[in-house]
Amino acid sequence: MRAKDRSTACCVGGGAARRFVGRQWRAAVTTTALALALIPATAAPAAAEESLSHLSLEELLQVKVTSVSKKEQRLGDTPAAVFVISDEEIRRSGVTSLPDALRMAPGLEVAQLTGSRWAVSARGFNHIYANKLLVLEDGRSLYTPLFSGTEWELQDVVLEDLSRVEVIRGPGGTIWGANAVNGVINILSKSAKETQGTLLSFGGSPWETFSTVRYGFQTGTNSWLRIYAKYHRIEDLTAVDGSDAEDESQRAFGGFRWDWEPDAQNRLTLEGEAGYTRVSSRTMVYDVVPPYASDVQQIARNTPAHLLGRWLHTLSDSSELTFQSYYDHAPAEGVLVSEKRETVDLEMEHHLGLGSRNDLIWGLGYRLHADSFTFGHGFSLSPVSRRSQLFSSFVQDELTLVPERLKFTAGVKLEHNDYSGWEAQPSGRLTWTPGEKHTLWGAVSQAVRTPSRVERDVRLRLAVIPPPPSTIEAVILGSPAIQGEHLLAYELGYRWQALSTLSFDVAGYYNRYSDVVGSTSLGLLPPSTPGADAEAAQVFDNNASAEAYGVELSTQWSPASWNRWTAGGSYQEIHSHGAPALTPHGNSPSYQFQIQSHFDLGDQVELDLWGRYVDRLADLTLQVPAYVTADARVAWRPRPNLEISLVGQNLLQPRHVEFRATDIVQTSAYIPRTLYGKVTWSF
Amino acid sequence: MVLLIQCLRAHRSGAHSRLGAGARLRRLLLGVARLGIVVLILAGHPLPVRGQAKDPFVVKAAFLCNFAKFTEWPAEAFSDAKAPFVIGVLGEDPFGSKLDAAIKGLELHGRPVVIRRFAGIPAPKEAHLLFVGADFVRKLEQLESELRGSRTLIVGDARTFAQEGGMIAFVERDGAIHFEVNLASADTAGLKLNSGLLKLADHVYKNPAKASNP
Repeated sequence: MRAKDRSTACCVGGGAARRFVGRQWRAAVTTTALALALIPATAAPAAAEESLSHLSLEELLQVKVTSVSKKEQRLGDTPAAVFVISDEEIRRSGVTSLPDALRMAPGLEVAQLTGSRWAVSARGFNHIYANKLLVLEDGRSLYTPLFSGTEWELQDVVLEDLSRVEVIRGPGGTIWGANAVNGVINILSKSAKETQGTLLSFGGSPWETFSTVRYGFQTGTNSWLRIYAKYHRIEDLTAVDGSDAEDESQRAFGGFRWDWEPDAQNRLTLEGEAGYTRVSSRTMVYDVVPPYASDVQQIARNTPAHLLGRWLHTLSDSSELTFQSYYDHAPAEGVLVSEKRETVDLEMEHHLGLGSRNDLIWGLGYRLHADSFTFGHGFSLSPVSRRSQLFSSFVQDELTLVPERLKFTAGVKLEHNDYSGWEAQPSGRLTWTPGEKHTLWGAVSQAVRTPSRVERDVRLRLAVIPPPPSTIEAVILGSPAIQGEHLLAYELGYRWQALSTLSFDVAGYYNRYSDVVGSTSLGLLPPSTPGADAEAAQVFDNNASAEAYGVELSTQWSPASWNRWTAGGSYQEIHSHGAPALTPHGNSPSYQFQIQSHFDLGDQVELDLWGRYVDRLADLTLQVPAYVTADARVAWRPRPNLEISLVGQNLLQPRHVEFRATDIVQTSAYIPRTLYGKVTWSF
Repeated sequence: MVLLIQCLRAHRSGAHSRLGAGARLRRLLLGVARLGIVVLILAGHPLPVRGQAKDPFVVKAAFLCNFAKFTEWPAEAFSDAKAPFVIGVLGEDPFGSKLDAAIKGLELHGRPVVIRRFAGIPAPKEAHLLFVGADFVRKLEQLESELRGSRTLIVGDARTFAQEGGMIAFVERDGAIHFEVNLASADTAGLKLNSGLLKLADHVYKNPAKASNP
C-alpha cells in the first residue's frame, strides 16, 4: 500500500484508510445498511436530512464521498499531523513547481535557494541536504542514499495530473520505514482513467517557461492509458552578491501511466518516465595549488528513468493485498561528482480486519541500491561503487477499545541495512473521539535515519588554507563506525469541526534526537594530497543530540460557496548539543504564518490570494532576514475547457532571500517578484 | 516499562516547553493581528467543506435533480400542464429520506416533484426519471424493452450501465461521484440532453442500447 494510491491516513493511523474520507462514514454505513435491509420507503427519515441539490453539476463532481464498500477512516480519526494538498488547491495556488506547492502545508519549511534548488524539511533541520524527510511519488522513494535527502532540482511533475499531496509531519517510520523521521511527503498522481482526453498547458515569464502535453485514452473496456511530456526551463537569477547566479535549469521528461481494472477484485497500475535534466549552479572549488579557491560553474546533467508496477488484489471485504515493484535508473554527470545509481524495490502488504475490533496491516520489503562514482575536485567515496541492501518488515494493529470512541494503534517496523544493521521503529498511538466533531490524539514513536553513503565513505575537501606558512587541506571523512540517528517523538493533536463551514487542526510535539551525526576533529595529519603540507581532518561521528518542540495550527473556513479561506501557522524551538553536521535550528524559522483565500467571481473568473510570513533564519552565517510576501492569481474560463490565468508571485518586494547555503556548493539567489501567464486547454 | 517512564519524563519536560510555547504563541497571534488581515466576507449558506466527505447517496440524489434539470422532455411526456415531475426508484431504495430531502421545495421544468418507489419490473412508464438500483442494473435489457416508447430517463447505479446501453451511469471513482452518458439511448427515448451535461460526463457513449439492436 505504500504502493498504490496509499493514503496517509492508513499509514500513520490505522491501516484502515485507503482514501481520504469523511466524517459521515458511520452514518453512511448505518443508513445504507438500514436502507438495504429494511423496506426502504419506510426507513425512518433522519432529522434534518442533508440536501445538496442547490449545487451545480460542476460542484457535485468535486464533492468527496465516503465509500461504503471498503473500510475507511475519517481524516478526523487519523492519529497524526496530516495535511492534504488537493489538486484543486495546487491549481489555484499558481505554483509552477512541486516544492513551491509544499508551502501550502502548515509547518513545512520550504525555502528556495536558486531557480531550481530548494530546501524542504519539517520540524527543523532544514537544508538543501535535509535528511529527515521521506518523499515518495506514487509509491516510489525519491530519497537519494548519497546524502539521505531529496534532490528537489531533479523532481518535476505534471501538476495538472496530480491527485493530491499528503503531508505528514512527525515520524512515520513504523509503516514507511527509515528516513521518515520528521515527516513524510506522499505525492500521488491521478489514475489514467481520471486523465482522459488531451491537455495542453503552457505559460511563462521572463524567468521561466513551461509547456505540458498530455493525452489520455481508453485501451480496453476497463483499461486506460495516459502519455505525457513536459518541458520546464528556469533562467538565471541574480546571486545575493549581485553577480549572475548562473543557476539556469532545464527539465524535459515524458512518461505514461496505465491503469487496468479487470474486475472488482483487481487493480493494476503500470507507470514509467524518462527524462533529461540540466541544472547549472556555481560551486566553490578548492585546490592545493594556486589560486587555491575558484568559483566555477557546475553543470549537472541527469537522465533519470523509472518503471513501476502495482497490483492491488481484494481477497474479501476485509482483506486486501498489494504488491509493488519498481526499477529506478539515475545517472548523473557533474563537475564534482558523476554517479550511476540503480534501485530495485519489491514490496508487499496485506491489510485485513480481524473480527470487529482489530484492523491489522503487515508487509515485507526489499530494496537494492547499486551505485558507481567518478570524482573530481576533492570529492571521493571509497569504495567507488557499492551495493547496499535493505530488508524490511512491519506489522501494525488498530485496536478498537471503545467502539466509535477510543482506538489504540501499535506497530513496529524492523529493518536491516548494510550500514547500521538492525533498526526497530515502534510506535503507539491513541485516538479519542468524544463526539463526532472532536478528535484528540496522542502518539509516542521512535524513528531512525540510516547513515548515508557520504557519512560512511566520503573524503571531501572542505577548504584549503593557503600559505604562508603552509598549505593545509581541510577535509571531512566518512566513518565505517557511523550509526543511525534516532528520534523519540511525543505528539499530541486536536481536531475540531466547529461548524460545517469551519474546522481547526492543531498539533504539538516534543522530539528528542540522539546519535545525531556530527563530526570529531582528528587534528593535524600528514598530507594525503600531493602539494599540501598538512591535512586538518574531521570525521563523521554520532556525537550530537538535539531536542525540539513546537506547535502547528491550521484552519479552514468556507463562508460561502464562492469563497474559501485557509490559514496556518507554526512555531518551533530547537536546541542542539555537540556540533551536528547539519545545523538543526539555524536554518529553520521559529515562526511561519500563511493565509490563502479563493474567490469564484461568477462562473468564469477565479481570484486567489496567498500571503506568507517566514521568520528569520537565526544562523549568523546565513543572515536570512524574515520576510512577508504574497502571491495572487486571476483566472478566466471563457469556456469550461479553457483557462487563461495570470499569476503574480512574491509581489510585496522586488526580490528577497529565502535561504543561504553554507557548504562548498551553491550560490544563493535573490528570489524575484514575477508575473507569469498560463493557458490550459483540454479537449 | 522503560519506555513508559521515559514517556512520563518527557511529558513533564514537554509541559514546560508548552508553557514557553504559550507565550510565544501569543506573540505569534499578535504578529498575525499586525499583519492586518481583515476578514471581510461573512457567512453565506453552508457548503460542504472541502475534504469533508458526504454520504454518496446525498450526492447522487442531488445529481438526479441536476440530470432532470439538464434534460428536455417532449410535451407528451406529461399528461397535462399540472402533472408533476415523477422521479422513480426501482428496486430496493438506497436513498432512504435523502432523495426526499433533495427535492424538498424543488420544481423541475416548472412542475412539482414527486417520488414513486417501484418494487420491481414491470416498472410503470409514468416516471420521467427512473433510478435503477443495484438489484436491477443487470436486468437492463428487460428494462429497456419494458420501457420502450416511454419518455423515461434511466439512471443506473452501476459503472457499466451507460456503456451497456443505459442512459446515465453513476461511476464512483477516487472518492467522488462521476457519471457517464449514452447519447443514443437517450435519443431513442426522445430525450434531449443538454450539452453542458455531456461536457461534464466522464464518457459519452454513442452505441445504441442492446435491446433496441435489430
